[in-house]
Amino acid sequence: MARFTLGTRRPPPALLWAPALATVALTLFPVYYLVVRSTEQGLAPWQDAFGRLAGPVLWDTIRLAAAVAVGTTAIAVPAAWLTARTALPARRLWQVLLAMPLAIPSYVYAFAVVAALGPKGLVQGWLQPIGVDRLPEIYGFWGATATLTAVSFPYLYLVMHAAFATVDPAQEEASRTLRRGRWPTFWRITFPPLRPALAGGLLLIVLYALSDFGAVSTLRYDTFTSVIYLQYQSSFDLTGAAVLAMMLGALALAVLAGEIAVRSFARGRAVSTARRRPVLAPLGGWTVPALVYLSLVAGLSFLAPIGVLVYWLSNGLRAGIEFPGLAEPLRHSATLAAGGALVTVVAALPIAILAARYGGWAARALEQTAYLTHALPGLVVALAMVFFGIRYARELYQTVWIVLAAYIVLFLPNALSALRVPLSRQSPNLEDAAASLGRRPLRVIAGVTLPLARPGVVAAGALVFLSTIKELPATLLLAPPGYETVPGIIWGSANAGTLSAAALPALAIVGLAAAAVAVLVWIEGIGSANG
Amino acid sequence: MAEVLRCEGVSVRFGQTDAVREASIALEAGEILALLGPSGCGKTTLLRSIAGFQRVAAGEITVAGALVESRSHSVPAHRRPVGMVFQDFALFPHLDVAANVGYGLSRGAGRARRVEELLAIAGIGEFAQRHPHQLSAGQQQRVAIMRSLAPEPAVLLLDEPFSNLDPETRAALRIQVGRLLRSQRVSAILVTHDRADAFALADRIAVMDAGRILQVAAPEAIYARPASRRIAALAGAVQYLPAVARAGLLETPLGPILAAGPIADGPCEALVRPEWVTICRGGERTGMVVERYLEGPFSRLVVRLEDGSMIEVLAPSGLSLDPGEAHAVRVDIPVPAFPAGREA
Repeated sequence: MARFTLGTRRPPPALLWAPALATVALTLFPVYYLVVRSTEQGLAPWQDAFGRLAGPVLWDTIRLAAAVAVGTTAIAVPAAWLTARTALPARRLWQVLLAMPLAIPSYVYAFAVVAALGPKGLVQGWLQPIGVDRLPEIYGFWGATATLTAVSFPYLYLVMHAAFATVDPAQEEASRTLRRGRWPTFWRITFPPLRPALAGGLLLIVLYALSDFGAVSTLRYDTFTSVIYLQYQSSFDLTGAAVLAMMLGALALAVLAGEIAVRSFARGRAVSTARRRPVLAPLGGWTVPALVYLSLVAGLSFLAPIGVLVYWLSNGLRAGIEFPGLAEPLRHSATLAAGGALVTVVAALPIAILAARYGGWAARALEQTAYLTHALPGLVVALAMVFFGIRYARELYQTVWIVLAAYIVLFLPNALSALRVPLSRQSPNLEDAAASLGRRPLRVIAGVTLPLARPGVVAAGALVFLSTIKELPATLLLAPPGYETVPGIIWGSANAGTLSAAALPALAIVGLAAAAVAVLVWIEGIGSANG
Repeated sequence: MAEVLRCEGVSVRFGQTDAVREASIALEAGEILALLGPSGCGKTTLLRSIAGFQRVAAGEITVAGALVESRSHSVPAHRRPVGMVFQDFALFPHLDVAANVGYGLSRGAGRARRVEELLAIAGIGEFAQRHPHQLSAGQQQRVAIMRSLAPEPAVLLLDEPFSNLDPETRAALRIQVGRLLRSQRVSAILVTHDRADAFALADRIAVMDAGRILQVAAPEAIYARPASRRIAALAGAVQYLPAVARAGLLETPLGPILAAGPIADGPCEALVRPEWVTICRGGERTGMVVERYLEGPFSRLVVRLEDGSMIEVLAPSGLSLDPGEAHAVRVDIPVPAFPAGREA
C-alpha cells in the first residue's frame, strides 16, 4: 500500500509563499531590532544589568515559575483525571467550569486578590468587628504564586484532560487481568505514557509565569517583566530595558527549546490512540470529597474573583462614586480584539495551509519559525515594537496599526495551532483530486483548501480574540495616546487604589473573554488549540 | 484499437534512490491495465507521474497523442485529460455528492443533467444531496469514480481503490467496478498490491518490482507462465520440485510433466502451484497425506512423495482425504520451469 509522503508533492502556488514569508518576516523583525538595540551601546549596559538587577530578579522569576508549576500540577492533574476517567456527576459541566478561568486576565485576578485580601479589603472588613486588624501579607511571592496558579492551571488541565482521554482502556484492562489493583495500574500503566504531556503542559505554564506582567506588577513582586516595565517607564532607559528584555527572551526561548525536545521525544513513543472510550471508574464513597475538591478549585479560580468584583461594584454604587465612562474604552477594546483576531487569522492562513497541506522542509521551517515568538513575553514584544516604531515606522507608531502588528507577532502561534488541526485531518489528496479534475491552482485553494480550514478559522479567531482581550502590556505600551482601553482603565484604577472604579471594567473584560471561552468550549477546539 | 497512453522509458528519482526505472507501458482504448507489485515498488509513483503530480527524471509520457511529461516538459495536472481515483477517495468533505461529481464539469445548463446521469449509472442517484461522511465506503468509492469520469478523461487512474474496504465488500466491489468501467468503455490503469484485484479486473497485468516493470501479459499468462521466479511469487503461491528437462518434458518426483515453455535440457526446477496438483483415491499410490488443513471448500494437504520431498496440494474438501492415507498424486497441466540453483 503506497503512502504519499508530503515531501514528494508538487510545489504550492507562489501566491501562498509571498504573504507567508511577509508574516514571518514581520514576527522576526522586532526581535531582530531588539538585538540591535540592546547591543548598540556595547557591553556596559549588559554588565550593569547583570550586576544590579539580573541576580535577584532572575532568582525571583525562576522561584515564581517553579512554585506555579508545582501549584498547577497539584490542581490540574487530579482535576483532569476526575473529569476524564471517573463517573463524576455532571462531568461535562465541570469540564466547562474548569476551563472558565481562561476568561480571567491575570491582572484582574490579582486585582480581585487585593480587593478581597488586601488591607481595607473585603475579608478585612468582615473580620474587623472581631478584632482582626491585620491579615497576612498578600503582596509578594505568595500572592503572585496563588494568582498565577489560579489563572494558568486551565492550560495544564486541558492538556492533561486530552491526554487522559486518549489512554487505551485495553492496556489498563490487561493490567487488571494480571492481578494489579486500580492504584498500581494507574501508577504503572496509565500515568507513565502521560509524562510527556505533563512535561509539555508544564512548560506552557512556566512560559506563562515568565511572561506575566499584570499580576506580578499588581502584587508588587519583582520579576523580569515588572523590572523591565519600571526601567522603561521611570528612567526611559531604553537600552537598559532592551537588555533585560533580551535576557527574558533568552530564558523563554530556553524553555521553548525544552518543550520542543519533550514533544519530539514524546512523538517517538506516542500514546496509543484509544479505539474505545475509556471505562469510567466508579467513585463510590469518594464522590463527595471529589465534588468538594472541584467546587473549591472552580470556586477559588473563577467564582470567587467574580464575586469580589460584584461586591466592589455594588459597594461603589451604594456609595455613589463616579464611574469612568466605559462605553468608549469598551468599544476600543472590542475593536482591537476583533481586529487582532481578524488580521492574525488572515496572516496565519497561508502559513498553516503551506505547512499542513503542502509540506516540504521550507514550509515546515517557516511554521517552526513562526512558533518561536510564542515564547516571547508580551512585554518584550511590546518593547521591541516601541523601538521599531520610534526608529523606523514613525507614522505607524502610536496608531492602532502597531498594536495590531504586535498582536500578530504575539498570537500567530495560537492561530496556527488552531488552524492546523482541521487542515491536516483531511485527506492530503484533495488538492490533487481537484487538479486532476481540471481546476487551476488558485481555484483549488479557493474551492477546496479554504473551506477545509473553515472550522479552524472560527476556533483560531475565538482563541486570538480571547488572548487579545486579556492582553495587557502591549496594549498598555502601544495604544495611541488618548485611545482608552478597558485594560488601561483597570490598570490605572488598580494602581490608584480605587477598587470600586475598576470593578465594572474588570467585569466587562471577563464577560467578553468568557464569551470567547464559551465559543471555544462549544466547538471543542480548545483542547487541541491551546498554547 | 487506438492507443490512449504511452510511457516510454520513464524514470523517477527521489534524491539518491530511483523510484521508477525505465518503465514503459502502453494502454489501448477501452483497456484495463493493472500495475501489480509489492509496497514501495514504484507503481503509485508511476501513476502520479502520469497524473502530473510527480516530475520524471527521464522518459516520456504521452496521453491521447499529446506529450504531457518529459524531463524538460510538463503539462500541469489540471490540463491533462487524466482522471484519478485516490486510495482514500479524496472526496471533498464540504460538498455533497452531486457537487463532488460535478466539480470537474464546467458551469452550464448541461452540468446538472450530466451529474444526474452519472449518479444514475452508478446507482447512487438517491444520495445526491448527502455528504461523503454519510455514505458507506462502497458508495464513497462509486462517487469517487463517477467524479473522475465526469470530465470524460482519456485515461482513468485508480490508485489502490479497494485497499480501504473490508474483504467481503472488496470482492463484491471488484465485480461492480469492473462492470461499470467496461460498460462505459473506460481506459484505465489500476495500481494494486493485491493480485486478486489485478486478476479480476485487468485485461493485462504489468508486474512491477523495485521500480522496474518485469513482465506485461494477460492475467492467465502471468499466473501460469511467469517469466521469472519473482513474478511467479508475486502472482501466487509457489513451490518448486527438482526436475530434469529433456526435450520439453520435465522429469520430477511426481513423474513426467509437460514444460509450459521452452527450457534447456538439464537440471531445473519446476513451479508447481498447490492447485495444479491432482490427488485422487486409489490408483498408483505415490504420495502420503501428512497434514490436512480445512479451508472451507478446499483443503490444504501436505503430502510426502516417495523420494521423501514434501509438497502442498489444494484439493476439494469433499474428497475427505485423511492424514496417514496414501493416494495417487500427479500433475496434468504444463508447468513452467526455471534453471536450477540461480535466482532468475
